[in-house]
Formats: sequence, structure tokens, C-alpha cells
Amino acid sequence: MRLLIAMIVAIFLPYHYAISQSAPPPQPSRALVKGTVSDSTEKKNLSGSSVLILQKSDSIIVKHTRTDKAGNFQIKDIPPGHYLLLVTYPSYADYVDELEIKDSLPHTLPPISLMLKSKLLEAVVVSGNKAIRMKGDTLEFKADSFHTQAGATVEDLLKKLPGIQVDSKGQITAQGQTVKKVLVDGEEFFGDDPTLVTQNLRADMVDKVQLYDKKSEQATFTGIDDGQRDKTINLKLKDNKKNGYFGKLSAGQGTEGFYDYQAMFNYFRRKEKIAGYGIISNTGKTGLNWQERDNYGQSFAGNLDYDETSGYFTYNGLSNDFESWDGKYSGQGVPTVKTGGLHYNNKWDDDRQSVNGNYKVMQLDVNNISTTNSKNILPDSFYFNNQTQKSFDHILRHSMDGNYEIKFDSTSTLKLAANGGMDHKTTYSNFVSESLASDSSLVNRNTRNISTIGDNRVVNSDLLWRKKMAKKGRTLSLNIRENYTSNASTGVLGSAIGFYDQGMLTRDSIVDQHKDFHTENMLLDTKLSYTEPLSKVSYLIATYSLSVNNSHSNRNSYNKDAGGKYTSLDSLYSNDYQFNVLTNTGGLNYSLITKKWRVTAGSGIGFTRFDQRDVHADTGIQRRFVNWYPNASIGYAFSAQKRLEFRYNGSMNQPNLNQLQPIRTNEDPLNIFIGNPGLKPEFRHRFNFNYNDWKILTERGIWMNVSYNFTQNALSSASNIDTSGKRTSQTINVDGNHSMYAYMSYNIKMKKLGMYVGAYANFNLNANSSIINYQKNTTNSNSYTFGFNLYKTKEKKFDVSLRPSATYTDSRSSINTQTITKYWTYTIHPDLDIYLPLKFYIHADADVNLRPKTAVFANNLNNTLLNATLGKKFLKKDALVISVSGNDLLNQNIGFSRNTYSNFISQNTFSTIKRYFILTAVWNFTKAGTPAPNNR
Amino acid sequence: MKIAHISLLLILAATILQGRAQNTIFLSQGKIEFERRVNQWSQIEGDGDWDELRKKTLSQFKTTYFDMLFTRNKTLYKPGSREGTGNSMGWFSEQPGQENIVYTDLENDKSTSQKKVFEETFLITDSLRKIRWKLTDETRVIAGFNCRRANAIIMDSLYVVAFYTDEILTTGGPESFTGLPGMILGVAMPHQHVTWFATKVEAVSVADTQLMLPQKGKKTDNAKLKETLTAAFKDWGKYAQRFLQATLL
Repeated sequence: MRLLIAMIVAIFLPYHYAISQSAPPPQPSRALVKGTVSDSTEKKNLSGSSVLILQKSDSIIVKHTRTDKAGNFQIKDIPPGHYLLLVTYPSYADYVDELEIKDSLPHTLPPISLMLKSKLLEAVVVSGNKAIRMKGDTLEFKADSFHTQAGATVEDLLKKLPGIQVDSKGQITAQGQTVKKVLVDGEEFFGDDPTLVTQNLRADMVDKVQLYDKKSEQATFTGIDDGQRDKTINLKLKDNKKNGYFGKLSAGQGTEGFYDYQAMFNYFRRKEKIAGYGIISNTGKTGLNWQERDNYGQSFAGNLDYDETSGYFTYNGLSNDFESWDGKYSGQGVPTVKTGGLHYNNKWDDDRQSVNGNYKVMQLDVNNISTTNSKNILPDSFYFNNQTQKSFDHILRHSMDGNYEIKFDSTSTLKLAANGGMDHKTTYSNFVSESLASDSSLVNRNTRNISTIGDNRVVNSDLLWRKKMAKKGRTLSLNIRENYTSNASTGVLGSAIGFYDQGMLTRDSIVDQHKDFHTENMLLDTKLSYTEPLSKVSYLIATYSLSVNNSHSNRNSYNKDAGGKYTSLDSLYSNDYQFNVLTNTGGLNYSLITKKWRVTAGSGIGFTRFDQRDVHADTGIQRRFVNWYPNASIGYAFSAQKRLEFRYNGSMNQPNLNQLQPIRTNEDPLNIFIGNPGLKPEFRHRFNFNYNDWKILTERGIWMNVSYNFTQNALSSASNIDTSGKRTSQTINVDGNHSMYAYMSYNIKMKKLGMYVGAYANFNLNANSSIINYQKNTTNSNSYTFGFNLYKTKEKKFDVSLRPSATYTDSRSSINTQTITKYWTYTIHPDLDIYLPLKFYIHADADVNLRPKTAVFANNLNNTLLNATLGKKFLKKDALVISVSGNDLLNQNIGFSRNTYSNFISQNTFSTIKRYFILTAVWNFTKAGTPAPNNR
Repeated sequence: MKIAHISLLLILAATILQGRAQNTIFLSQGKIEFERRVNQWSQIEGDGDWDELRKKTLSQFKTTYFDMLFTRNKTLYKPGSREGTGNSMGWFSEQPGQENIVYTDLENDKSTSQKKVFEETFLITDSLRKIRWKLTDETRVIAGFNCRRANAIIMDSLYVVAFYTDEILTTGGPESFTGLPGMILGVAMPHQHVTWFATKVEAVSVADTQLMLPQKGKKTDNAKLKETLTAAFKDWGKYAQRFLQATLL
């Protein structure tokens, strides 16, 4: 054995002098140091001893080597200076001596002898504990209750704690045992060398000191307790969140009666947040946008739920028709809003429990004038219809939501979410329409007024409990969901229609009715889900759900009696209907998730029972359906940035109560809709392929998404249009509906120009079947869009972009192959920001729309929407911004949409906000020394 | 760890049975398994709702394993066979340094490393990093070896804590950490929230031919790589700075 060591040492002997690192080029004034290392008791030479020369001032290693077979060493090229000579050898005590080099003469050191370490049994001292908290197996000290001086280190703090000793070397003993590890928020604490690092951990940053016996790594890993315990100290740091507030006040007053006033405020104290806002505006702002929600309301992120097994997010935010990502009104017409909200959230118990709540109130008035031009294609002819609608809507809405989450331990959580709302809505609409035959002769003319007062109530709740079992990957979850809606409305319908033949009035039809509707819906859904790991990468997921969905609709129409009161029930337009659905669904899914592959396959099977009952007639039917919900997907990741995925799923879609209820609706007497209680659920098959490849260093991206859907028993319509231009329609089940969607884009940064360039294409192909005048009609409508974008930015100088696109639409119906609709539309969207000296900035953007006339639409509808802003920032951190904006400078804005559906092609223009100028001042305030709001 | 203990104990026992304590075996070849552990949450700066959401998708710690083969003057550090723990999600969470291969020639002051940076792989040939280690008298046992602590600052501002053992003659270490008078078995960069610790040391014989130079990637050196990455990440803010540092380690 001894021989072997000797050999090993001998083999490497020639290298000994090459080990020294950072050797500067030899200079004449450098010295050589040599010596011998031996054992003090046996006087034997110690070969392989490590010999180090350190700078005396700071212990920086200057040179090091090993002793040779004979225990000799020599170190060359040592500049003059004060050094420490350190010799180490396993199991021996270190040898340290001072060494001073004054000249370049070789130094021969006196023989160095090392001594074997003597073991010291340290006295075990246990001192009595005082008022200290015991938390499970953990002893916890509140750091603030032990006074340390300003700037004190963590070691200083530990010295003060009862039962803990810190020796001169920084070794910590707790309750008589050596502390193996000191952790800071779960990570090992190594202690900072104050001569090297400035950002040291100070005692005043520590919130709690926890002392516990940590199971060995092995025991933690295998779950088999080997009885070994290491004394461990965990330092819990204080939240660096401070207390404070910030907010925003914005005032804008414009021409043409436009105004926009906003106030937002956020007060925070550690993890508690109280926020509120108020908005009064008629420029389209109806609520907080997503960034403002992060600061002044309920963040969208708070509504996203992440599932660890699948890796998918689900959004649990309860949708609201006036809430949008950008906080702007997206409907037709000109909105005037007064709204406000309050938000509260808090976390406590080491973040194990959290709560948040919101209350919002909104009063919204919308005025709209819209014009619709449409073309109805019939087997042998077509009709044109032109309609003008004026409407006034008034809504008062109160809504509340909140949720509470508790983590019982690291394995189970419970989340309870609830929301509720109340709407009071008054609407008044006036319609004037005329229908023309293919030869442009007048067929009918209609004037109609509808006024309605309605009250909506919504109460939703959702309970989710999740439990991770001891075996990794085994989970159980239970979800109980409840949705209740109630909708009550009363209104008056007045309609006068004149029917014409060759321009001559032949007859007229008057409707004067009072309407009284009440609809209620209650859904209760319970879902149990169990995941069993089959291996480290594959899982089996079993689900069972029971769902009860009961709805009831009572719709009554009354005609005037002899006394002029609306008391005589019109049974043709009245009905009381109950629709109950009971569904039992069981499912089994397999999933395989590896670094490269992600494969899932499985199916659910659902047993659905429809109970439909006509309350007045006291008749009913009960129907049963068995449905499969198959799904499969396969995904492959070439790398983290390059992925391919293919998916399939099949799902059932139930007809709704409106489609089923056997009643004629005559809100538009020229468009009568009749419910069809015999409807079957439709079944949709969806295929999706997507591919993306993003190169980060070169900023090049390719995205592709193709989907294909087809529907069996699709819910479509059957309609009859008679010679007087009156349409009667009903929902029916048809086969043969399918659609395809494809999107492709390519983006790249052109390095030389510093410009981002992208091109994209998207295709929409639809085939929809319906029945028109007893003939089957299939409409193929396709649209193809091509576009590109250019973007260039120079920090603090300018941002400029240009986005043109062109769309080609074509549509043809099998019932009338002569009529083919095809047209191009074009848009160009330039956008410009310039940052000028003296904190001035200019923003300008435009929407140029080119919509040439077509066979159906006789007018060109070209317009250019130009917006511009000139502003200046003031104060520290640009806290105050004053700007002048011009909206729609050319006064050409029109609301616009074109639709092609089935045998029906329409173009709609509506009121929207046109030209105005507004002067706005925005002041962002922050309490000194507190973090500013998140600006993403 | 167990295997290492046993093999080492056997050798030590044999040594002691033979006679004297000075017959300590100094390893000059073998295989070391390193565990690299990153606190992924430390990279999430804020504590807003979006940050909290990101934490839900990321495990706090991610560990990966590396194997290092060493001879007296050469080391090869490369991804190991043992599977790590912890998940990371999305490409913004892609951690640099998880697939690094580092070949170090201590004798000729040269290293060749293969590093994957997103879609690109670089092959970096450069001299060894000069580290001014500051020795301390703190010791700890890592994988059965007595180690001594040294601290240093690298790349102008990064604080490094290293533990080396004089029981191994090779003066190497994981990644580009070298220059201590023995093998570095533990490295911690507390402010970067990353550690490398040896989990086992096997006294196996290693031939120089087993230490294969990495081959793949675009040839460059540290200065040029820094330039390339700085240009690519210039609009990325703080995240880029951290990424850059981690890549250039």
C-alpha cells in the first residue's frame, strides 16, 4: 500500500511545480522558498502535504504546491512581502507561520512538523428556555424581541438567543448540538465575507429564527426515516414590502361635450391591499384595463388557476359583458359611464390563507343609431332589406365577488369563490325598415318600437378542494359549482307593417302587445377527479361528474282588451316551459409527459336526460342521450422554443331553452322565430395542429395554427320567406357543417436596419347548411387575409410601425348559384411615437379602411381615422403628464361590420365616437419611499 | 453518497490497517457527482399577482446532476445520468448552465466548454479563469471529504464561496471554478442563489482518453461570447444581466 502511494506521488511529482496558479512572469526580485514537512511524533516525511502561501493582510492565496515523496517542497517566484505559510495534511492539525520575503535570496525554512488532531469533547451545555414559541417540532424566536445594535450581523443575533452559542470561528451550537445548517428562507446561508461583499445579511432583516431537527436528506428523499436528525436553523426574513400608497388622478375635458375623469388609489400595508377607483367618462372607458387592475383592482392573474399535472392554466374570472382586457366599451353606440369599485385583499398565516373581495357599481347609458343593409338569397330570387335602428339603453349594475383560499398543509388546499350581481336595465328601440324585391320594388315597410324594463340577478359560487397524496403524482380533487341566473322583464311592442305589391299597398298588420318574461336557470355541478401515477412520466386520470341544470321560462304576451288595457293573453306568443337536464359523466384519460413528448388520450362517457314540460298544456317529453367525449393529443418539443402539437377532441353542445321552447316570438313581426322542442344536442369534432419555433438570439419566429371542425346534428336554422318578405325560422339539426381556420406568421429582426419585420396570412373557410323554403342550402363562405408589419424603435427617440393588410371574401350559396359575393377590403395601420426634448412627446396613429362597393353594397365605405396627441411630462419621475389629443381628426369614423352567414349577407354601420379634442392632465402620486405601481 | 463512503472507507481502512496515518491516499483520478441547485423563485423579483402566479408554475428549487471525471491535470464536467428534481416552465424560465460540458486542462491553463444558449450552442475555448481565492479556517465534510472554505469575487462582482479538499490532488472544480490547492467539492453563489455540491466521489481509474473534448457548437471565446450575448439581450433589462452572468460562469 505504501508502495502504491509512493508510486502515485512519484508519477505526479513532475507536476508539482506547475500547480501554482496566477503566476506572473518571473522577475529578478522574486524569491524561492523551500522546506520539508514531517510528522511530529514519528518524524516521518509527509508526502502530498498541501503547502500554501497566503497574503498576510487578507488571506488571499498567492501560491500553493504539494510536497514530494521525501516531504520536500519548493515554491518559486514570490515577490517581497508579508505572508502566511500554511501547511495542511488530512487528519493533521494545520501548521501556520508568518513568512516575510525581503529579497530574492532563496529561503530555506526550518523543518515543519505536523501534529495529529486531538479530539476535543466539547462540554454539552443546555440552558433553560424562556418564553419562546414551539411550533410543531420547531422552536421559533421572534427576532425583534432580542435587541441587537444597528448593523448587527446574524451571528450577533444568534448569540443572543437562549440555548444557542456561537464560537469565535462562527460555529453554532444549539441545545448542545452542533448546528449542521443555517438556512435563509430555505436556502443555505454561507455567511458573507464583509471584505468581499457589501450586501450582508443584517440582524434587522430577520423576522423569525426557527430551530428544528431536520431529517437527513436520504430520509427526506426516500420517505424512510432513518432516525438521523440534524440541528438546523432557518432564518425567515421580513417581507421587504413596505407600507404606503400610490394613486392616479386624471382629468380630461374635451370639445363636443366629451369628458374623461378618473381617480384611482391603492393603499398597502405588508400583504394587505385596499384599492378603489372612480371613472366618469363618455370617451369609451368603462372600467380598469388589465394593468390598472393589477394596481387598483383584482388582477387578472388572481383569477388564473394553474394545474400542476397538466401544466395548463384556467381562467376562473366570471365574465361580465362590460369588462374587457383593455377596459374599453366594445359594443355599438356612444357610451356614457359613471363607475366605481373597491378592492380588498390580504394574506396571513404565512401566506397559508388569503382572501380578496371586490365591489363594483356602474351606470351606463348608450345611444346608438345603426343602419343595416342586407340581402336574403332565395332559391329563385332575393330580397334586399334596409333597416335603421335608434336605441337608448340605460343600465345600473351592482356586482360583488370574492374568494378565499386556505392551504391546510403542503398537500391540501381549499378555494372558495363566489360572485353575485344585480342589473336594472331600461331599453328603448325604434326600427324603420323596408324590404325590396330583386327588381327593387317595395315589398314591405315596417315601423316598430320596443321598450323594456328588465332585472337580472346572478349568484355563482365555486368550491375547489385539492389533495396531494403521499405518493408523488397521486392527487384527488373535488369541485362543486353553482350558477343561478334570473331574468325578469316587461315591455311593450308596437309594430306597423305595410305590405306592397308592385308598389301598391295591399294590406297592413298592427301589433300592440305587452310582454312579460321571466327566465330562471340553476346549475349544480359536482366533479371528482383522481390522478394515479403509472410511472414517473405517465398518469391515469379518472373523473366523475354529476350535473343538474334546470331552467324555466315563462313568456306571456297580452293584447289590449276593449278597455284599452293589456289583459287578453295571446296564447300564440305565450308559453311556460320547464327544461331540466341531468348529466352523469365518467371519464378516463391517460397522459404521458416527458421532456420531449406529451401524449394524452382518453374519453368520457355522458348519460344525459332531458325533461321538457309545457306547464300550461301539461304535456312533456323525456329524452335520453348517450354521449362520448373522446380526446387525444400528441405534442413534441424539439427544444424549449420549438414545439409541435396535434389535438383532437369531441364534445356535445346542448340546445338552449330559447331554441327549445315551443313559442313564436314576434319582437320583429317580419322575422318570426319558433322554438323546436325536438332538438337533439349537437356533437362537435375539433382537430387542431400547431407549430411554433422561436429563435431568441436572432429574434426569429414562426407560428402556425390550423384547425378543422365538423359538427354532427349541428344546430342550424330552417327558414321560410314568403312573397311578402316575411321570414319564419326555427332551429333544426343538420349535418354537414364544417369549418377550417389557418394562421401562419413569420417574424424576424433585421439586424442591420434594427427593424422588426413580420408577415402573416390567415384563412377562414366555412360551410354551413340550412333549410330555406324547404330546400337544403349550403353556403360556402371563405375569407383570406394577408398582412405584414414593420416596427422600428429607438429608445427615448421614437417608435414607429406600419401594419397593412388585405382581405378577400367570397361566398356562394347552393340554392342560388347565380349569386356570388366576392370582394376585397384593405386596412393600413400606421403608428408613431416621437419623444422630443424637454419631455415633450407626440403620438399619432391612423386606421385607413378601404371597403370598395360590391354587387350587394352599392357604396364605397372608405375612411381614415386619424388620432394624434401632443403631451409633456413634468415633475420628478414624470409624475405629471399634460396632453392635448385629437380623436378622429378627419371626422370620418363609422362603426362598421360585414357579415356573411348562410343565405344572408349584411352590412352594418353604427354610431361611434367621432371627432373631438381633449385636454388631459394625469398626476401619478406615490408616498415617498414606497414602491411605485407596477408598470408593465 | 453511500457508495462513495463505502469505497473511501475501505481504502482508508486498508490504509490504517497497513500502518500509519501519513499513508493517507491522495486521489488523483476518479469521478465526482455534483448536484447543481438553483432557487428559481429568486429570479422572480416582484410579489404582485403575476409573480405569485409564476411561482405556482415553478418549483422553488431545481436540481440537476453533473458527473466530473478527473485525472491529475485534466477534468471533464458534463451532465450526469442521474435525473434531477423540480420543474421549470416556458422559455423565459430556461436556465443557462444545465447542459454545460466543461473540459479543463489545468496543466496548460486552457479550457474548452460547450454551452447551450437557447437555440444556439457555443464552443468556448479560453484560458482558465484567474480567481483570487481568500482562504478561511472554516471546514466542512462534503461527500466524505474534509473541505476547507475559500471565498472570492469573480467577474467583477459575483461573490463565490468554495470548499476544496486537499485529499484530492487535482486542482479542479465544477464549471470553471479552479485554482484552489485541491479539488473543489462545493461552490455556492449565495447572491445568485445557485450551489454545486459533490454528492459522491468514486475512486475509479480514469484514462486520459475518457476525457473527451466537447465538439459541438459555434467556436468562440469568453470575450466574444459576452459581446454576442450582450447584443442579443440588449432590450431585456435585468433578466438579461442575470442570464448573461449565469451563462458566462
